[in-house]
Amino acid sequence: MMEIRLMSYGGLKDITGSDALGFAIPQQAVSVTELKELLLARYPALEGKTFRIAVNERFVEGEFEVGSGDNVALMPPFSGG
Amino acid sequence: MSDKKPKNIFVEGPISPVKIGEDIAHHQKKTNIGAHSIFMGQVRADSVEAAKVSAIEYTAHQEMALSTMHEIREAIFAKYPLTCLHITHSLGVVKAGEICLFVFASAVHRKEAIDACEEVVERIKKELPIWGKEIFAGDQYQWKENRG
Repeated sequence: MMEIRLMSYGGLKDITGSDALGFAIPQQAVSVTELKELLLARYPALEGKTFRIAVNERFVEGEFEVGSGDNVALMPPFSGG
Repeated sequence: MSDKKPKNIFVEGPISPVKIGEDIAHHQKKTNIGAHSIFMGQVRADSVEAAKVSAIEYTAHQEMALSTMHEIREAIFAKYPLTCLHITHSLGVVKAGEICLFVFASAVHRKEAIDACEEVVERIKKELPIWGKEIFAGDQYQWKENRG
């Protein structure tokens, strides 16, 4: 069991209901791919949404391992300017 | 040339045209400059069905935006012989008609100023983790999408 800090940006905030929250994970570590599956199970409205994941301010994907206390940012396509 | 520490680019609310004028005036003492190229992004009152955008509320992943902007600055200074480059982007609510982005590139000659300014604007739109929420009259809103 561990907890990560989940930060949601742009329209994804409307889906997770908060810009920052603790997200409990039943393992000690998960890959980004596994984390995405857990997020989809918890927030079905993420299905079909385009977003990237940054862990501790670096974009990551696939087998990158997410551990306890990591800051995980869910970021939809940017729309600045 | 450019500093090593990321510079802040964010201001709360709209970018004042007075501030833009003052920024231009401050460069009058830099007499090696022969050309400024400036870009200003303005919030457009887009119509979506019957509703009109009255404002855009900007949020950002500020740490990532500033470090990415720093990398863009370094790349731009390496590519173009610029004298200076200033970037300001709004956070929070900016009403239709107000300025939300200001890019100011200065060089000895016009071509590098114009090219650098354009490239910076394109990269800001594409690479900075900033999001715009288009607010309509009442409580309606939609999340802005940038065109390619």
